[in-house]
Amino acid sequence: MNGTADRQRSFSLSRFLDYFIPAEIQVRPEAHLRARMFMLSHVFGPILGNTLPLYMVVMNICRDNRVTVFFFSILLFWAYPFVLRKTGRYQLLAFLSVQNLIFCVLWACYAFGGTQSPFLPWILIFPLLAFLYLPPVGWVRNVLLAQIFGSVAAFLTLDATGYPFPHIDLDGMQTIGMISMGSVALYFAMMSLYFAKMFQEQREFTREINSLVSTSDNLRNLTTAANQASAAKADFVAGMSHELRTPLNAIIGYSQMLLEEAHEEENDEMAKDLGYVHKAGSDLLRLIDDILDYSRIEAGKMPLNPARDCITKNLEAWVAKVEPLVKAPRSVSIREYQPGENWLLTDWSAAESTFRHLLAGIAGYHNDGTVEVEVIHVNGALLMNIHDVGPAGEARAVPVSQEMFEHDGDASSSKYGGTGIELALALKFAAMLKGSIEAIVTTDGRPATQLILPDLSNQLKKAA
Amino acid sequence: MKTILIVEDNEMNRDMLTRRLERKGYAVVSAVDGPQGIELAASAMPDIVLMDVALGEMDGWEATTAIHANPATAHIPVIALTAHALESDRQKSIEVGCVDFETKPIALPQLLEKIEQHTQH
Repeated sequence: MNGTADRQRSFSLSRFLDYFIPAEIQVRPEAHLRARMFMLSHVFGPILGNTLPLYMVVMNICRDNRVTVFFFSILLFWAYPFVLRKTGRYQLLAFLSVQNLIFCVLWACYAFGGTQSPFLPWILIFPLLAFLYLPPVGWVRNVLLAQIFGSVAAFLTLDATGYPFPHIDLDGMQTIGMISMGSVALYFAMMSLYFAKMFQEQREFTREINSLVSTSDNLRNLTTAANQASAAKADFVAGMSHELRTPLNAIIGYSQMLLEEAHEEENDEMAKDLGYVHKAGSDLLRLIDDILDYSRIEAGKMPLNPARDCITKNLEAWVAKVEPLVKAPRSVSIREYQPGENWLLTDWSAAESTFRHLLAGIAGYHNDGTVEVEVIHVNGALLMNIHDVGPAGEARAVPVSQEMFEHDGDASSSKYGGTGIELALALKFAAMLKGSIEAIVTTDGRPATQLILPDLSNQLKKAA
Repeated sequence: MKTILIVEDNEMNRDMLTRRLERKGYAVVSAVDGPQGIELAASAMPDIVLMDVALGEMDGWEATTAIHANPATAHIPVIALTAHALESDRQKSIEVGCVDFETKPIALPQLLEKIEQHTQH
């Protein structure tokens, strides 16, 4: 619990400090850490520092301009966060801040006792701040360190050569010496603790980033492997399809030729048997084509060839192809409503495949009744509501959803009476055309399967 | 009687298509690969060529290009026969100068219609 509370406090403090730090610094972890140390020092440093001039005034140790200069030179540190937020000039401000501190401390030492001054220990924080504020490389920090040592050396030289420092009663400064030492210690402790905490947080953050990068690499590798496997599967299926088609072409062709001969010779029994062979071959060929299409779509090897064309004209061609697929006594009826445009930009070959597979799947789900298709032209899309109507006129629902195949793919054929591959293909083709197939209930309360094929104009514009 | 040249490497498909076309009253000559097809096109001067696309070393598109490169056979229309109904195959066939494109298994009434359409003089 304490740990959580600490983290929350630390987070709030960090958030407060970040308010003054420009975004371009916050995105660089090391620069962000230095800027936070700068902020911490400038927000809390003046509170600690000004206890000294205030104590001197309250205790009547000194109330002249020396204290005023001391007080305001410390108070000036509070301006830096606002200037940083306004200008974003971090390096310049860090440099000026150390100058400000050198002036503050050396002024206090000069004005209140020279080398005997109780403020002399503050000299120790010059290099500390130079290290914390500025990066380890670069000329600015080297110049600053040279300047710090130069200033301190000049001060000590002045003192050693007997320069007349202003008089102060050192006896009255004993208590302030203790306060000064306490403030320095507290300042050191505050800066060190915060630095350690930030350093730890940064390490954890870096570790987390590395872990995420590693996970991302693994996912990328897995995706690449999956895509390669999918492409390899598509190539295998395409190769197998070709090998299966060649003998199948001969079976279909020879059976058709013999069928023609049997009809000519009026050998009905032979014609009937040959008809079965021909039909079985044709069904098998269609199944191979379906599997090949499914595999191609999955592997992204079926490119779109969109064209703007007339809906009614295409529908007529589609119906002619679908009708032979519907087994008697089932039948298909189509009604077309045209409140919208009769032209659509889509891949008409893929759209026909969507329609054909969907109709074949729905028609194969029951053995009786009719399949009613309502085609509605909507501006920007082609919409179809397909109703499965029983022999007594009752509307029946056909379960169509991607999950049906994802969760139950192996069983789809046995469970859905051979309609599984047809419906799965219809869903694949519809998705390829940015469309959808869903089970719905129409406004008259009847269950239906709704197919929506959108105009691809906007999709193509986005892709371009 | 119109003469049709079938270029097809699969023996069963070649035999089956030959017999079906002969039954419809055409004279049929056949070749088993691209080079033989080019040679027969020049010697038999058929009215039309039915060219399988997947022929092995020299594919049907190369053979079609060679037939059309010869001034003596350049006028002979070629119908490409492929195993897949791919848009890319159809485009490639048109690019190399085929007058039409038919997928296997052959729907004979449709093929006969195309043969008649492209052999009208």
